[in-house]
Amino acid sequence: MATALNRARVGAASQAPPLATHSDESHWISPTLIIVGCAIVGVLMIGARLYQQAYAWTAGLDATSPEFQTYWMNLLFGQFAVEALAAAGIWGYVWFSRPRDLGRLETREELRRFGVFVALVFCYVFAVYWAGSFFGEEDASWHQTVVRDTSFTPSHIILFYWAFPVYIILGITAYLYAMTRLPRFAARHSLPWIIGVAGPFMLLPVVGLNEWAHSFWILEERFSAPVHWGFMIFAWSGLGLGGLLLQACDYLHELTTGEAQTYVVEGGETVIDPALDFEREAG
Amino acid sequence: MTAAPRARSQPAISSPEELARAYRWFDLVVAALLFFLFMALYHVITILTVGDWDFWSDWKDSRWWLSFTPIVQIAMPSAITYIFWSKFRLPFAATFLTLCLVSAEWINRIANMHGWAYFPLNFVWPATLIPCGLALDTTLVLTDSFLFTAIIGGMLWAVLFYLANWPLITHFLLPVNANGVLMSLADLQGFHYIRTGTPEYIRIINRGTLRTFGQDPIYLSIAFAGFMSMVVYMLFLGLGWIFTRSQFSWLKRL
Repeated sequence: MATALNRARVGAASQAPPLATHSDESHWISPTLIIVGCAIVGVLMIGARLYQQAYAWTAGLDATSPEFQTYWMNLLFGQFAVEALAAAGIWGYVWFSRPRDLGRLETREELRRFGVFVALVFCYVFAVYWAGSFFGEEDASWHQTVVRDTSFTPSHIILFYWAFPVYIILGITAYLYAMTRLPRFAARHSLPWIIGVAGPFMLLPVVGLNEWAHSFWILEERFSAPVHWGFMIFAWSGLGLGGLLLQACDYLHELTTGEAQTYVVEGGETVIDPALDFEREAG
Repeated sequence: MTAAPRARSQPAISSPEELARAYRWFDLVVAALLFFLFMALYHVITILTVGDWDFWSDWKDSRWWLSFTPIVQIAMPSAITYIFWSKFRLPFAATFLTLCLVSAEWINRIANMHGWAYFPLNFVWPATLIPCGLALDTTLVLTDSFLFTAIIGGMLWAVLFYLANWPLITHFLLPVNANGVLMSLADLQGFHYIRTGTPEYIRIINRGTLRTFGQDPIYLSIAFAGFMSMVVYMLFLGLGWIFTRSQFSWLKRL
């Protein structure tokens, strides 16, 4: 952010040779992509919430009833189909349309792609909000008021099998995009970014443990609380995005000023981030 | 590892003015992104650890809610403070996080607890941690020391939690006589709004023998929470440190 980037030697940019074509890069992270991406996520989530409002209390209280099968189990199977198609389509598109120009990429094009990547991360985080916060506590409100008679409650069908897959699809899409289009992320894997994507993904396997434990019918408090701790541990992994932010600041500085971010260490030496040595080795 | 900075043949941006605008745009996008991220992360951790005490006015007790909420909740502000303060010199991590948490909780209480499960809002209102976050950040700015922030700010974090929420909860603690039984107004709410699923999720509420000696548990809970908050603050600074180590940041492709 600005405080860190103030270390940038802004003057270097003005001394650089002028580009042949000039265009305003100040909105290098596409606002259109962020708005459209978040709007799609918002429509998917608000639509699901309205469906719950209409059918959770009227058709979702008894898992053995025919209307439960009609309104909730059919929805669940439909969700699985949509998610499989969406994941295959989006991931396949990102992978098979990958450019082969990483070795001769113009800096301006690299910045544009980096902006697309940041926008995709934004959409991913927005989807994580709906899963972790909005539908997470909504699930709690359901379980506090309705006795559980199935693992596929109206709240779970939306939380675990709709909101979770949406953010998983978006997170892996953003990961694949960076890996196939940005030289730095193509050369190595970013560990904090792996944690930021794989950790929240692991919430889905934890659902298995959670539901297995809940199948013991009514759990007393000392057992029911620990079965949720897996969710908490992997929620902490979202902090990996803090490490990604630092990497993004370095990358942005380099793309916009033409020089790698430098640090003054003990003894007054100027060094670049040692973790970036791989790029020099490769170069 | 000493090396001249690598140079690209051409920077993507050619004027300082455009560069400043590009950085400002990045700041804005990142700020919005972090708002959603912290709403998600801080809220889900709250739900899974101390959420049940926070959901209902009758479970906001003088022992467990007061003790565990500050202890558990200081962890994430601590880790984020390390990243914000040591890497960006931004002194508002705890305030920002608590604002995100309260925003996420209010959205949920209105849309879901009230809008879906039909509980009245004055039964499911969330507690606030914003004054605690302000105190923690202010201590950091004034002392410029994580250690003193842990000691002074950690204690303030726990003390202010009860003080900040006192105006919200006090009228629910008024005694009422219902059918010949003396109870608090919050307890009466709990009896009127039945939570069928609570045997599955119920937490320990107001359990303990020392309650018979009056209000002592409140002060003991606050003191205990304060000392534990100091320890948790220091421990989770380490997590922020781990997430910002560049030498572990990049892995070879297989």
